[in-house]
Amino acid sequence: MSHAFYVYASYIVTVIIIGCLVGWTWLDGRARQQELRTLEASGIRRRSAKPADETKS
Amino acid sequence: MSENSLAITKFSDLANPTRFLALVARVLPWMAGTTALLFALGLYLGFAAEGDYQQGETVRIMYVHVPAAWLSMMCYTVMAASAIGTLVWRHPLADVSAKTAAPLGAGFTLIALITGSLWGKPMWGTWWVWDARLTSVFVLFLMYLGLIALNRAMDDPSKAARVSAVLILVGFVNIPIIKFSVEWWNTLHQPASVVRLDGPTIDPEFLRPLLVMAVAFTVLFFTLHLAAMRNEILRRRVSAQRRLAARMAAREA
Repeated sequence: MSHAFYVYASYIVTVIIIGCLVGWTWLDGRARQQELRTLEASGIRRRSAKPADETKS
Repeated sequence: MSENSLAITKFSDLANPTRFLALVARVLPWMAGTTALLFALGLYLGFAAEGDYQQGETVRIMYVHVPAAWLSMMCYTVMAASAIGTLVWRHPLADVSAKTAAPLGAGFTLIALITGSLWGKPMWGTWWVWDARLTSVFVLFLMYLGLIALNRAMDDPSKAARVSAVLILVGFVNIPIIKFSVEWWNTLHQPASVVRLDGPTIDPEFLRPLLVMAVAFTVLFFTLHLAAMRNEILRRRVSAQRRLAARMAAREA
């Protein structure tokens, strides 16, 4: 096999693994933010977060 | 400074996850952009440089292999520092940092192992040898996998954090072994040629792209690490709020 094969194979493997890490981090973040939005929409908030209609108290 | 302010004026303010999330939201786009620019520059320099007089084109494997190998050790060092943060100061983000760094470390170690193998075949005539450097890096990879499994095997996050932190610190002994394995033992792997007391021994033609790629990989790691820490904090919030919802539902019933 030519040297080019080993060089390209190395770069392709690196791109695949880094792509998996980036993709997983990205999709995980989107899924968690979606879950938080769903919880908030159903009226469940963090105790420290003030509900929008109770700011004047 | 008022209690409710989210401004970060000292390092310990980062212990507040809400402040940390606000900081991450602000810096993440800049870090991602910097990573992309550095990779573009590093790859351009790497492929514009000439091949080595002995190794030919395969010297370009160095630009991904060496930074990945550096990062595999740096990531473990970040985890060890976080483990100290967990055990000594009980910093609320230290455990999040150690937990989220492990899969990234495993990824970069895997890159170093595979690209090393792909470099070894044309240069050494073999994909793999059980010499001290290769074996100790393989052990590091197994340790990352073990730490990921251990942390996820326990339901209680604070218990998982403490047990993992102890194991991370015990495993840290492997890092100097990896670094100095090429000097302590007779290995097929070459000794250090960049980080040496007497200065780098590789030609600036190869050193420049290598350093740019090393910085690019490092910024990539910290970008991914911050994003993964944010995800982990959000994951913990979701599970805390679900528990709260379950309690509220039980009270109403």
